[in-house]
Amino acid sequence: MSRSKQGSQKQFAQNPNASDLSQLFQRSLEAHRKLYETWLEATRDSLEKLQGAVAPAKAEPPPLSYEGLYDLWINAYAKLFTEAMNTPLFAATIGQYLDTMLEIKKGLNHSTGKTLKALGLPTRGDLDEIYERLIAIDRRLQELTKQVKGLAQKIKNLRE
Amino acid sequence: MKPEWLLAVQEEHLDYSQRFVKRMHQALQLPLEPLQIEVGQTPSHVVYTENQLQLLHYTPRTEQQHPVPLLIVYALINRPYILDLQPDRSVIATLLDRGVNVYLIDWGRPGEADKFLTLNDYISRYIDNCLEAIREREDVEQVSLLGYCMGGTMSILYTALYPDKVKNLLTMAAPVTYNRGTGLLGLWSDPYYFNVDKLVDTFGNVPVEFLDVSFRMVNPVLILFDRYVQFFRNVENREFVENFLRVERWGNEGVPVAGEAFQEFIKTIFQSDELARNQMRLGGRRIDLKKITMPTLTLVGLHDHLVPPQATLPFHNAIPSTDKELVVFPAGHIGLSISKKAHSELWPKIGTWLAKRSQSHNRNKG
Repeated sequence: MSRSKQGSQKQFAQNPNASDLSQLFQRSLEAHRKLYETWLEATRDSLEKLQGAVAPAKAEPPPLSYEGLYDLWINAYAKLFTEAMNTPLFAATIGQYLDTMLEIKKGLNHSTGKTLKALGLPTRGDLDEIYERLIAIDRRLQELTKQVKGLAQKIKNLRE
Repeated sequence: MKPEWLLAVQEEHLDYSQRFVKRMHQALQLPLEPLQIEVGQTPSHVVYTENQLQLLHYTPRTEQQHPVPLLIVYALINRPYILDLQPDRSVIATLLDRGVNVYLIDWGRPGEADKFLTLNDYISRYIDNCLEAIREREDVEQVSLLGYCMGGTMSILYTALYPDKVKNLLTMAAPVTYNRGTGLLGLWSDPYYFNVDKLVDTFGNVPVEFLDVSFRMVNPVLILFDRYVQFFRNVENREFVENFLRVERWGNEGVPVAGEAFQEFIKTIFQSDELARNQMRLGGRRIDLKKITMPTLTLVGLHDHLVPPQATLPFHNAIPSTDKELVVFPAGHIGLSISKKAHSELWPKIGTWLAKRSQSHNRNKG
């Protein structure tokens, strides 16, 4: 991914506007196309190798039932397809696709937050702040409960 | 082309067409039939709760139970009833039948606030509180731990931090490394391709859809296509259909994962390989695998695409326990807990292994 494209995604996530949205929509389409192409390539690659993979050993007669043929095909195809996906190219395409989708989602979150703020409603950020404090209080309470329990046990032992 | 071969093909074509029509007829009848797809039917009751978490205690099925109870720690992903899918394929029921006193942590569904929970919150707080609740309830010093998948890794972390509280450790398909040729998940979660910070920053808790797609993509041909072909092939077999639908139900009832805990798990275990290198720290404390000296059973699935044996073996090799056993069973990740073969060959043996090591009395009082 080029630097300018990455910059556009970051800019959108921080401060989206209509033109950024259209750019991001284009990036999304491009990411979809790239993922689809890589997927097709993996399919083509595995199909090309399929004939060799399903050819039964010379001593074995070919299966005569449809289900037998299907089993032979599906197992070879599953193995080859997984191999075709187990490549840095496939991993990079999936990673880039996810990255683009996350930028879009972040941008939309930001945009929704701005609207909510304008309406005087709590945003996700506001709620997160409360959640974070709540969890911190909960942790502290847990620590104190443990300490009180420990002290109670010590007192009990002393009395005994 | 030989005429007898042509005849054979024609015969197969007719035969298959008949079977196809029969199966299609049966498939169309399915929505009208009263199918039994209940799950998690082994009786239990809640003995401790904390936020979303529930600690379940299973009703004993034997007159006498072994003194050391067992706590099952399930993964934060998906629901734990896969271990009690149906009466004849229930890990929990098998263990109860061997006289094991079984408890299980049901993590529940994390709420929005739970995205700030760390891995340490789960280990040093939730698991520890559950273990303390069992110790108090049963009046014992030690409890055995059985962890499945991510729950297995969490059990390892807990045991390394609190070895004195754990009598026996059993792990099932527990990932400790993804850096040594461990398949697709290892490759895709490489920090070069996967930005976990951005995922958690964007969503908070990790959406169930993301996890679901990632797991299905590990073998899309078999999971997204062949699985349903097999269903159609067996549509006349009621037992198969009901079992299939229970597993489908389980697959569709996944739960999101607490964001910060997921982020920490991916970064330290998947991406930095800190646990396998025995350099992990949790809440400022070191996780030292050398502290795992108690009897340990490591179970891995030979055909597990999600957590292949290589993802677990470094743990088994690193621990100094003198009573450790590695079980490599020919099953996949889920097959370990629900396959017919696992229930006829594997779980009775594991039950016996655990029962033997749950004998010593370690009561606090009297």
